[in-house]
Amino acid sequence: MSAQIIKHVTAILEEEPIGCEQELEALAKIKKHDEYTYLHSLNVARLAVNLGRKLNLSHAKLIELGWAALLHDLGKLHVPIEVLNKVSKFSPQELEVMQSHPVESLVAYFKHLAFEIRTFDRLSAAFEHHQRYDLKGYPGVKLKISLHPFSRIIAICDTFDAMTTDRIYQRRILPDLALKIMAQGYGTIFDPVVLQAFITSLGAFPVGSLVRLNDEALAIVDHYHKGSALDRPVVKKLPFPGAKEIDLSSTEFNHLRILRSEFPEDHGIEIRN
Amino acid sequence: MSPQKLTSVIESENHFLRLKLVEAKLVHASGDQSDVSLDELWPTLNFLKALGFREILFRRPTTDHVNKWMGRLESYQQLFIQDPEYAGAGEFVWNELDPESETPLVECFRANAEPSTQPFEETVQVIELSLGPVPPMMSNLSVDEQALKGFINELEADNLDDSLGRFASIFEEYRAMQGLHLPEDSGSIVASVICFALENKKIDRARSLVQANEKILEDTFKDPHWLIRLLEIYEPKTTEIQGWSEIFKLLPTPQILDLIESQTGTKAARQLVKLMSIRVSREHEELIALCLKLPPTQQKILLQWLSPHWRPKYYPQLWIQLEHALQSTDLELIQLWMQALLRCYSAQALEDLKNYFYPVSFWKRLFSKNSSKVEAQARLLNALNENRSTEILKFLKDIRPYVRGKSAHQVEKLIGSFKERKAS
Repeated sequence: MSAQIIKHVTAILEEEPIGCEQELEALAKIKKHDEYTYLHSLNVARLAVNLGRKLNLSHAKLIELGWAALLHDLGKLHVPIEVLNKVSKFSPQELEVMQSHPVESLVAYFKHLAFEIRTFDRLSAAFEHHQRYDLKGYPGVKLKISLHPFSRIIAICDTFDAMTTDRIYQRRILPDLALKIMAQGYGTIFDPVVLQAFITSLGAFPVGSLVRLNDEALAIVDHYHKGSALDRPVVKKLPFPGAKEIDLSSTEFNHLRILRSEFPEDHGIEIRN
Repeated sequence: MSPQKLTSVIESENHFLRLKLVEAKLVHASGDQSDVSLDELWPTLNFLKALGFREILFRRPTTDHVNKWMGRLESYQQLFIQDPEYAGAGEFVWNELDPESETPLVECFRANAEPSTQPFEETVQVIELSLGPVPPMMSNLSVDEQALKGFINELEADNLDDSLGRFASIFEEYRAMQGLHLPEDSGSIVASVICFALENKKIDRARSLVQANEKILEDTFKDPHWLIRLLEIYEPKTTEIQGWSEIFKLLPTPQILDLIESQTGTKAARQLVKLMSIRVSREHEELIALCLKLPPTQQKILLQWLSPHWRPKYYPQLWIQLEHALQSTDLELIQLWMQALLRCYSAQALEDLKNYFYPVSFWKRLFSKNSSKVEAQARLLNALNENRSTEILKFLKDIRPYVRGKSAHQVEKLIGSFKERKAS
């Protein structure tokens, strides 16, 4: 078993994945099949578990949510790599294959993992994460039952990560902009309660964002004070070091506001987590 | 500004509108610029900005043109949000063209494209747009505590019924997608879930899974390993037997009979007995027809259930079965057919049985094997001994004068024991 995968999973779940050999092997298969899907799965799990923690979920549910997110794209093992990584427009057949991955997750689950009660929750997330909150997504289903709560969380984290990750054919979308776009799926594509919780948990400008203030200065979002407005974080003006912390939620800085976020690399800045 | 203010801004700018998306600035005809909020102007502008557009030009767009353009872009945005990786951005049409001249009325410029310098015609159009729901980024940035609590409760609760319903739905889609080319292990997948449902007392769910997947499960139900697992996993209560038995409706009766024999004393055999009882109560006509065709080992098991269901109409078939059985040494089988025959039409049966004991004509005697007749008499008397009644006592007395040798001794003994029992 890859030590690297164990390390990644441990960091997300905050506990060693003991007794999860089959799950780890399934992840290793994803990694071998397509590195992007593997990294995307890690990101989605990280976002989902973080949201779960903010929601004070029980430890057992957090771990389950983490695994459901880590394996939500297991069905992509059945999608040929040339289709997965295609840069140009999909043919109708390729799109069909691509969109079959939630359904293919069924066989993938039974092929790679032992059948247990928790399989249902994980499988539901893998099957439903593109179905939309209003069930108008894919795969279409005859039996209209509301999405599993895991699916509702993972759908949001999946979209957010897909939007904010660079692809060969598309530059990533800045996180604050991604959240604004996702807000347009409020109550249709996404569960409004979960979306609201997700945005609240990240802030309108997620920590680490490079932002332009209305005094033209560039700053990095450092943290949020509990209860502050989502667009009023504590920022540190550039250049570092010696940058002064500015608490935009304080009345002292009422005159300042964030205009927009910008790509750090456009300014030769590297932001590390 | 109120949300979706774009149309009124177009109007106020005499339909000459230039929007810088990156800087969120409105360029006036004079060349002056003013700050705007894309969220308030029209939230979908963020989508355009995110995809790398830096500027939008509006040239004489009518209400219809703008509505059409906005509607189209909003639908693109929904597709994109639903699946950002694979929404066919290559297929999206960003500009709104004049249908006659095919010149752009609304033109979107990417970061590396130069905006057109074509002058704008100034006409006034009032465009009314309905307001959509207020998204969370523009509402009070807090979470509805009550709704959130409801979601967390839903998440923490393990609703097995929902999970099983979801599986049924997932499998239905899978089956539809695969058509006739289902993998070999499909039956095992469904059987695993049925076992799981039964283990958790979800009989209705298990039954509906069987109903929906009958064809897939055909081979699985022929596999003794799966069958025994499915049988042993749940012991139905009396009130549940009816519904539970439908889970096994694909199981052929001869297979049940074989299993009852091979699994004697096990939990599975107990369940099989329940299954047979309910099946006989519902389908005794069919099972009687089946019984007449089965091999003796299976007949012996099935006959035990059929006893209450024999009617005079079956008499000729039962008589044939008894005569056939009499040629064997299987006393249990003879006894069971005798019992069936007596249940079916006892007066006629006893009348016909007398022929086995009455003297035969010279010609018949000539062509019959005497020893086999004596053996048949002994087997019949043994079988009658197990079905004692006044009618049988009378029968024994009736044949008494005609029997000889070993059979006569047996008849006397039977009459004696009948009387003894009556006296006691």
